[in-house]
Amino acid sequence: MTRTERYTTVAVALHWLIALLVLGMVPAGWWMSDAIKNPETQMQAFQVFQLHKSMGFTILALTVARLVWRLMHPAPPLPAGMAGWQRLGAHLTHWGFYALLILIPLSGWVYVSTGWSAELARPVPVPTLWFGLFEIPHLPFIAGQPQEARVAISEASMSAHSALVWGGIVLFVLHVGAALKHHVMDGDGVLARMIPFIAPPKEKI
Amino acid sequence: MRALLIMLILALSGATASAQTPWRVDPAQSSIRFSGTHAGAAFNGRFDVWTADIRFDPANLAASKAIVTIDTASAKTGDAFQERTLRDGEWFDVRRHPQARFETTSIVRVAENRYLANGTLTLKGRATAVAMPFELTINGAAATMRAQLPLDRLTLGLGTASDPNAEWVSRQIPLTIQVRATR
Repeated sequence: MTRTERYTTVAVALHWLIALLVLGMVPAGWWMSDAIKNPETQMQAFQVFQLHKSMGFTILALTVARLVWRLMHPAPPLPAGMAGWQRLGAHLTHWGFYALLILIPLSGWVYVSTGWSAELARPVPVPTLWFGLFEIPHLPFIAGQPQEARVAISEASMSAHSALVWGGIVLFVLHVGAALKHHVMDGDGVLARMIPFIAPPKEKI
Repeated sequence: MRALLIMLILALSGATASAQTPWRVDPAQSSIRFSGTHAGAAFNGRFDVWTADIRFDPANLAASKAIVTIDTASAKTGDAFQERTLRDGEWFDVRRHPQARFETTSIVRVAENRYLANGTLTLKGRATAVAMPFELTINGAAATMRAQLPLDRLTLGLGTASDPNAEWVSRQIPLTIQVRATR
């Protein structure tokens, strides 16, 4: 494998930027959904919620950009000797990630648009201001529903939001496990395709 | 005799006219401010856009009256999140109720330069009886009025569904009013 078979610099930058954001989002999300119910921590939780929403929309936008880039710049080829099931697994994991990186923010957007807190079981009509700079509107076809419908949508979207995160954790374990397996056991250049500072292995003769 | 009668009528009508003469509010030296706490931090806000039709004469309180009209969308706290939230249906419901209104029903003197204005505060279409003590001094053609009015946001219908127990926004929202006017 040669250097030209790496992901493009833009793809690498987007991958790591999104990865970093997601790694912050998951623990923050878990913490705040509990902390919002505790009078001792609910003020910080409120601020973390605002940050979580801003970061979620950032991930959504970066993922759309990344998908557009990916469709215009195909991924470098997988090692020639890889088994068919492994190729299939790699593709499913990668496209599964893309799907989750769209669907998790979208389910969060649906959730905040209901103006109903599933955690507190009461109306919490809170606008979304992207890092306090500009407003991201609620989805009108959700926000305009009568309250009973919004309560149901709130609970369903929150269940979906957290179920999808668990799906992402499964994919994360597979993804990291596979990347390490390629690097350590197979000694091929798969990990080097996405990490800028790792030298690809010498061609085996 | 006739001249005396005319003078008397003029003097009387002059007295009525003085109670009916509107005061011109100096916006630069006048303000309607509100304060409270939100998410554990104090906020200090103000209404940027309001008008006041003030007909006040300390010698003729019976004919004195004030009507204050406030653009609810002009509430500013310096925090984008708070300002945006205040526009929502739970708070000022700016789209359906762009204006709040305070109209006095009677003004009584309490002490030297101190008065009590009884009136109606109409917010989101809901009228609430309000008694506002104020201090007013007149110096020639200029008057300075100061008032503190503690308001209970729940009785005014603000944040009743989303924060009925004042966990996020304090229940007490004191108003501080200062008006500088001339006539």
